[in-house]
Amino acid sequence: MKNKVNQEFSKQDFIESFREGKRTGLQFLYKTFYGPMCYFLEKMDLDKSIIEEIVQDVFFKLWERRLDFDYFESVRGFLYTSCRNAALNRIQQQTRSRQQADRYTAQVDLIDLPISHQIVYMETLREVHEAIETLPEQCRHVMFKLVVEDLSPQEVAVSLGITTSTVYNQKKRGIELLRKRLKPDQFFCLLLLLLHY
Amino acid sequence: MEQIPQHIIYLLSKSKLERLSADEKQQLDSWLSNAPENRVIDDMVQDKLLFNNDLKKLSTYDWERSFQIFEQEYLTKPDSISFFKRAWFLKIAAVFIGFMALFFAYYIAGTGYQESPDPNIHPAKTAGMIYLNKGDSIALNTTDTLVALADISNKRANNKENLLVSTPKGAKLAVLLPDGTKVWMNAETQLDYYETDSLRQVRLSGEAYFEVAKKYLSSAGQIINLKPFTVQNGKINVTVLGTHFNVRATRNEHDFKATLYEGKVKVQQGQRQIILSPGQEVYMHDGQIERRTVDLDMGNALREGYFVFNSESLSTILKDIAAWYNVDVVYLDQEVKTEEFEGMLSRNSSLKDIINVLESTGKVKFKFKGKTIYVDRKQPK
Repeated sequence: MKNKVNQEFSKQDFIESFREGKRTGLQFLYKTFYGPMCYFLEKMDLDKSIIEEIVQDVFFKLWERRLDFDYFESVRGFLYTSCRNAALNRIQQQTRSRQQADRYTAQVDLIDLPISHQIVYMETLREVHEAIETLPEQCRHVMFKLVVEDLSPQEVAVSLGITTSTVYNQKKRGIELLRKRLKPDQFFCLLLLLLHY
Repeated sequence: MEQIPQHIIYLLSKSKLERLSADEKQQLDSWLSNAPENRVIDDMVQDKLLFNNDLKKLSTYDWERSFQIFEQEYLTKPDSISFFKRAWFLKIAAVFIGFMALFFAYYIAGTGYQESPDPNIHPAKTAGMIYLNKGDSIALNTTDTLVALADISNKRANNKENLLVSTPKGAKLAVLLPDGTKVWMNAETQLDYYETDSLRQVRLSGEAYFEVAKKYLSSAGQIINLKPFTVQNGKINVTVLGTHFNVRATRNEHDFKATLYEGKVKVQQGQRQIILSPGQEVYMHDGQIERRTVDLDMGNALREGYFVFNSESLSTILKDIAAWYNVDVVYLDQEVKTEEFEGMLSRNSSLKDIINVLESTGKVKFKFKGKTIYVDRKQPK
């Protein structure tokens, strides 16, 4: 994983280059949202090949309309909303059997929520995932085991074949790095400040 | 759309990775008490089993692979591969034979027309030729409704499949390609199929209806990609994104048509590209591909066995009929060629029935001699 440093700062740069029709900008958005979009659709119980098709179609639409998007947030809203609409169309089109429809509603409670809430969940997921992915290698493995697999430091030490103290060290380092990364958007800091006074 | 609360995303993420400060905790709590949906989201994020499973799933998607395909499929201009090396020879031969036929037709014509067509003229029968790699060929003359070609090619060890299937005049053929794709071929159609590890391609001359089998690229990763299926005619490419469609592409490029029944296809002509949805059709207009909507209820022309004419000129209609019944057409009046007709007729009808329908419009008159149809304007009496 390269060029992740100062990502908050460069997000807008990528949007600019995307608007200018440069591949690097598009590639950044693809890299950022491909996984979350696929998984979002998978939660709606769609077939893998259809998911791939929908995601690529949505990106193609985004690319064609790139001049309409000024901010990272507007791109994000467009991507998730288009995925959802495409998925709902598909589900209606397929006129699934009742059984499948039941399974679909029983399994997925995320889907019953308003789209803005779905985005909050998917984006939290993405942020946490990306935060861990940006860590240096050993640190990442340790944090992955600790946070994602929910193992104790002792268990992590055993599974990675390192000492428990290394686990603690890496954890400390990881938290520090995450803290640096997890700076809230400056705009929202301002907003919160304004709300407070 | 409702505004997405970015700071909430931040707070939720932070709560997963490290502790929230008292201040932050308060902010999150006040958001949670705003709406019951907010609580659902928080519950989901704090649900270790669910959230951690979701995180793990997120690592399984390979964006790089998908992006590569996306760039290829959607963003690059098609690179044209040399089409039908033998095309020149075929064209010259076809033109030459055409002139000969016309010459003889006129020469013999003159007297002794029949009022109705020769009863020995039948609709197209299942027949065709299959040419294999080494120059061997197999003549088909079967009563089977579908000819499976899978066995023939499986015998070869290399992973390059290559087949050429053609139907002459007065013949039709339904084939199952080695990849499982079903193709209904009209008369006078040539289909050159080849398959490699990464793609499937058909060069088509004539008309065929395709039901493309979903075939996936074998990949080590988790992501499954559809193996591309492309139908090529001259400079036009039809790429399948999963699907049932009809392509008509005769030697004459102005006659090009691609109709989509199910799924999605992309049609490319040079830099220009159109992505079709079901019920749409690409046709040639002033040498350029254009999109239009068609009535799919009219029935699927080839597969279900109909001639479907949508305000088509008499010359187009008769070309189709000549190929299907293996007859020749001679025009005694040139203007009548541009008369337009509409209708839907069974491909199993006798030639006489079809002629009767066309004559019933009161615009044309047909005469026959052997296997030749003479077309004239109906003379007002």
